[in-house]
Amino acid sequence: MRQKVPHRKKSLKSRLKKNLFGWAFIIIPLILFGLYVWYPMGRNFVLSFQKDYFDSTFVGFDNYIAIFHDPVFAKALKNTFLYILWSLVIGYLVPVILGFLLSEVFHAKGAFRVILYLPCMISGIAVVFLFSTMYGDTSTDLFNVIGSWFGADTQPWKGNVHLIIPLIVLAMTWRGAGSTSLIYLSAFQSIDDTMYEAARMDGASVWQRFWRLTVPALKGTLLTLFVLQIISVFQVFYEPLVIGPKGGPLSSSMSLQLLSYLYAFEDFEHGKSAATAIILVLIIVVFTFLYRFVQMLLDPMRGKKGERRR
Amino acid sequence: MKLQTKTMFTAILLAASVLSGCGGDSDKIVLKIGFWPESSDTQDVAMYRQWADRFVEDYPQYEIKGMPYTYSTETVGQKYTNGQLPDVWQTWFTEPSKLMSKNIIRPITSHLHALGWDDKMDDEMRASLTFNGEIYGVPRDGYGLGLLINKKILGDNGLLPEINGEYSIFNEDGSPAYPQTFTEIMEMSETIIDQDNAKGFLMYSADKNGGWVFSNLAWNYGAVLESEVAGKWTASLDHAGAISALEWIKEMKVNGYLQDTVACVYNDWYSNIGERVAMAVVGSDVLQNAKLLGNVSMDDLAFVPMPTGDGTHHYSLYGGTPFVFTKNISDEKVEGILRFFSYIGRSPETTEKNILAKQEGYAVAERKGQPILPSIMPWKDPEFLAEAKRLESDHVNVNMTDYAPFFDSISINKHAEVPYNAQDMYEALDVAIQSVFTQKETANCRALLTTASSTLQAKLDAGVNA
Repeated sequence: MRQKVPHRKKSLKSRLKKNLFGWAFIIIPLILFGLYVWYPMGRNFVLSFQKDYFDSTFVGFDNYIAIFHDPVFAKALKNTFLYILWSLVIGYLVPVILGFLLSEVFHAKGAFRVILYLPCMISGIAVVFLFSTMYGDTSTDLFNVIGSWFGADTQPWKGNVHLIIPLIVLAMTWRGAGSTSLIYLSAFQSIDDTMYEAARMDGASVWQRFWRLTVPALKGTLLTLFVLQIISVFQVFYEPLVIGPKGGPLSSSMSLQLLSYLYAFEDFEHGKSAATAIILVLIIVVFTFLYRFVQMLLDPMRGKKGERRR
Repeated sequence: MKLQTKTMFTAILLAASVLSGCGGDSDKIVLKIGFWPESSDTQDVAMYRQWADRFVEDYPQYEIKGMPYTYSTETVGQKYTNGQLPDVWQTWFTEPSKLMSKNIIRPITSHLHALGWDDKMDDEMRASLTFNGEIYGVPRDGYGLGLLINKKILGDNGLLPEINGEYSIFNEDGSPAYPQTFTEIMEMSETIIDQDNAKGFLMYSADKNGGWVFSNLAWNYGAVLESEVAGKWTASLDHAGAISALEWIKEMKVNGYLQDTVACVYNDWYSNIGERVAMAVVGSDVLQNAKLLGNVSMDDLAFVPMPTGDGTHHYSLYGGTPFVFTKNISDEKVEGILRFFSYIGRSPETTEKNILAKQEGYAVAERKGQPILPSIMPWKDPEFLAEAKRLESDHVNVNMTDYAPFFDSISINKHAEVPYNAQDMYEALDVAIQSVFTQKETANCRALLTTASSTLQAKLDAGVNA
């Protein structure tokens, strides 16, 4: 032991010296993360137990109790799950299908990829304003123009409490499906071509190839993007802010993220805003653990010590 | 010189130059003016610069710094926290109570009292700015809600007489031909939709604008929406008058006399009043936007008092724009800003310099082709009022026959907004209106307003009654 102590000191010093270059690289990102991510997160947690941003009186769980008594919070919580439901119905399947169709295309594959990816290059807020206009209530707004071709009356599309969430998800899907479908495309392309060829030779249809070959091979990607989709939908914010607007009509498009923003910047209820954000974080953490759990069920070797190497 | 010494010397020089640049003349009191026009508005900026130069010439201890800030609930908290709020800025009359409770603005009672301005302030406006015996701002101007009517739509549908080749809002015997009751609005709307593509009436429903206008409708049906009972503030949004007002909206909606949209906001009025709707409730302070933003000729419009529902009340919701002062600014700054107000005609004082400033203001508006209408004065001092009205009458450039019915009666019709949680009340009422818009025939007005009343009562209990 006596011999080891000086050796350890020397080793630590030399290790530090050896890694100095590496530390120099990560120190600025670490400081930025600390300042702009970890500190605000910690401050938000503290704020959720304080009266206000301007008044740091400790109020215990008052902010949490207040939001649970607010009917709009209950509505936002319910809506968040509706967003998930609709995003799975509309937003989850569309990129899978698009990716699969792309992988099946032989001619002008590059052109199709560019066309699919184009909406992702438009600013998110611009897309939201674009769709907000399309969903307008006058006869000259796009959805009503299309409706008029089939003899439908002019409708207040975004004024319909039952349609507003699917319409918002449609706008989100239009913008985001391209990039997700490219991830699926690369996953499709990583599947051994000879298996497809063998399946074709055996007379398997497109549908059979998709269900029997592609889906099992893509299990990991599908699950990862499924969870990422849920997490991103939980954070839906500016879409209901603009299209709703402000989570309307009748709070039918209100999301937790938007409610947190409105508490803080419209009502000056910073404590309630922070409490809402903490609830949102807790829900996302639960989903993340659920994801890990499902992943382990599907692939028991994953996540254990000495994770399986491929 | 060693490298280290050189570096330190350079850093000190740099810091000194930066600090001196920030401070300007260190012995001057810098007044940061938030109601300064935006740089794109070159004519107004030039006028304000001229006013500031003139002021500094007489009061060299001050420096005027334009720092345009348009108030919004989304930005005020952040700007205050970051020290980016100007010293004085404009807001709405519903806001000072909230801004005061969050310690964002400061009282200026003693300064106003020393100048004698507190006694010259319009009583309702002073009440809107007074909390716990302290006054938290200076009123810029007021507005009253009135009924804006498109004479052309009404006239084309045979609802206004044609006199000397023009549609008139008065009959030949001088009696009003414009709608004076909500029942008449409904009857006129029926005629309009039978013969025209336009709708009868624009009812707001979102962004708290629906509740804001609804409160006026409810008063005119005899409702009292908020009152103090045995020391406790009580919400009564389910008052019989309010229910009648909501029933009227429901009937208008069911019959198709209102616009199709569910979420309709106040700013929709100027894009609708030209061709899409015949009547809308609008504030007297924004009428010029019909021409400036909606491209509608002021000659095609008329502005009349709010209709009555109970045959008695023609109340006009009365609010306005106050200047408020950021919490942490010094007494010296407040004093300087009030002096500047006096220079630019925003005070109850009448001086040669502020008459000149007002004339310059009118001249710029005329050069820009703006419609000039009468304004609701924030001060009640007779000398001030006489001079201000004289100046105003020299410059008003709309046909007052069509606008006088409102402006001649506002002094007897005005009704202040509810004193506490006005914005919360408007939000709760928005929900009731949107529910009527979506549920139509099946909407239960009483139940919707009972829910809205409970929501407001909870806010009152958590705030003023706590």
